[in-house]
Amino acid sequence: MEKPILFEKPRGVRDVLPPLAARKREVEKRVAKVFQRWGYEEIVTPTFEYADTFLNGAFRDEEDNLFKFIERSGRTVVLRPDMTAPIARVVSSLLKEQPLPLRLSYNAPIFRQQDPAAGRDAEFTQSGVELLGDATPDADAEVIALAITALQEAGVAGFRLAIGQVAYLQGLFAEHVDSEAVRARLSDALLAKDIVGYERIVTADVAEEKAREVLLEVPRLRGSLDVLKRARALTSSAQALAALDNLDSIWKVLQLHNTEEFLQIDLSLLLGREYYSGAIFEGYAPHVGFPVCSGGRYDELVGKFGRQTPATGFMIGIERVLDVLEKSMPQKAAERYLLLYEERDRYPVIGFAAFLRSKRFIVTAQRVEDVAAEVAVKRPDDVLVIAFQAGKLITRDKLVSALYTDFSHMFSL
Amino acid sequence: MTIQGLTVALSKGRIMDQTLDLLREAGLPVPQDIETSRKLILPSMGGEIEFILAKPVDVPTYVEYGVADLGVVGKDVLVEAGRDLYELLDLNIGRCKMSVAGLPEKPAHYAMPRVASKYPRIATEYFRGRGQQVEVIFLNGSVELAPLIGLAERIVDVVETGRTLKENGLVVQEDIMDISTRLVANRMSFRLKSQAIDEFVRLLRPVVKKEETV
Repeated sequence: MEKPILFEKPRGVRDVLPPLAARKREVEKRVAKVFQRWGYEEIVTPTFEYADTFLNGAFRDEEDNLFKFIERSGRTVVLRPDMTAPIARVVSSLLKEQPLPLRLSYNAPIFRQQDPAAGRDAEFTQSGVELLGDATPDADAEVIALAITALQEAGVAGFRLAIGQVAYLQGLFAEHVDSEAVRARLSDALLAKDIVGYERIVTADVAEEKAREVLLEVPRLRGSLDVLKRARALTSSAQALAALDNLDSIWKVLQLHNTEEFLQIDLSLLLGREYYSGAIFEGYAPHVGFPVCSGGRYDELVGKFGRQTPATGFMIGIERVLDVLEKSMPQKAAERYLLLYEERDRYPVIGFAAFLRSKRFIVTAQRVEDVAAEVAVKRPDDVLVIAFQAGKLITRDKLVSALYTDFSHMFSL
Repeated sequence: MTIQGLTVALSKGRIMDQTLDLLREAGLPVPQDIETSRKLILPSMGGEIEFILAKPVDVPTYVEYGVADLGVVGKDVLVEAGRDLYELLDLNIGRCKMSVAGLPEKPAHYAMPRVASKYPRIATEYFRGRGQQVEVIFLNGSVELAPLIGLAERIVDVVETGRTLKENGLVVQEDIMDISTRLVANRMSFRLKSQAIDEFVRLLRPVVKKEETV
């Protein structure tokens, strides 16, 4: 076998060829348009920055994941592993005098060194927003509703968002577990999605029976709004109760955004980034094994760059959205066309069928009693049904409608 | 039954029969010919669940990529694979230990310590965690052979009864972790098919508990 040595790429990066590149651009454009309509302004930051920007809280435990190099001055520079930290830096420096709230959006390649398997590329694209300077539940609800709208606009179907609140678990653990080490292990187990491990720690290392019962309920705090009620009964911690009140208020605003059908509550949800401080969420779509979006409130992070301000935001993984689109609608070209018409539409249909055949399509023109009834009949997968009703062509196939437009012009119908 | 449209990857081999016993006892629809058929994909009678029969090491991969919603697989394979999955339930079958074993006469120190294993990740992390420098040699099978022929002084492997070790004149030196069979779930399925998965776990949980007290 010949080795294409010259063209070999590093692990975890990829070339995007046509037509995928065009599709990627299209998804990015649609998402950007939604961000713009909601009043978010685009920001561009450098591809590489000083490592300190990212080690300042956000990536302290993930230093191995950074692509690093040394600048001439001797300082360590990294390719950006996320956009939230650079935006926090800009908001605290160049935009220091800009009044809050600020609504910023981005679309940028992100770089991480990770095992290149199952959706973990070394270079990938994120589109996202940050809403800075608004601590109200309305802001949390806004970014969640915006994430839903953006996914819809991108063409993702059947997705769900899980919403959690990191302060609930903090409060609950502080109330029922004395040892800080055990609390950390419980969080780590939930973060690792190891429910077996979590239950084992509770059973082995929590002395009080009442506390054990409460903690074993945590993995089951998933579902619709009634989860909040169940969660409330488990705690008297002020922090945990405040977190539930917060989720309750956010949910009320989300109802006004008409988004409930896309949402579920999961109080056991934790996301890797340690800067999250309030409501967090993650989005899941069918057919792909990894989340399509994630985000949440991070009120402490911007302060680390020198400007105290609450903030929330999210990002969408563009490649993951493309993967969903690819898998959920296999765009197999129709091989046979079936034109259904009633007697009164005979005139254009027979001509159009001939026109299509002249373009080498396989076309059957079928006269029927009732087009509407016939359209409902199930046909083989490779047959594309085109209906004629009251002189009009009804089809979702773009190619056919474009051809019909051509045909109509030619014969000035 | 609310269990509908789930795909479950089962590990072929050692734990297969016990897994099927548990599933049947829990009242889950297991295809009757699953033991005898040579097919690798078998739907249940009512079409509620599709079972995929896979090599154990492939089960975490199937589940992470979402071609199976649930998987049944040993903790040893899970840890070694390092995949991002939900670990839902300990099935309490296939119990054994991951251990370090070697010849009984242990040298005072190893000059160039070598460890043979089918589990290079587990072995590497274990020795790194103890601050020991070792060279881990990956083998696909018959790991017990390595100390006998001088390929490595020690091995890291699963030990069930210890018979294989004994017959080869090896002894357990240290235990690394307890192993048992786990039910794992894909991250997206855990959300998007939460009702079916919760029901699957709810049916299985009491059967598993019973096993534990035996």
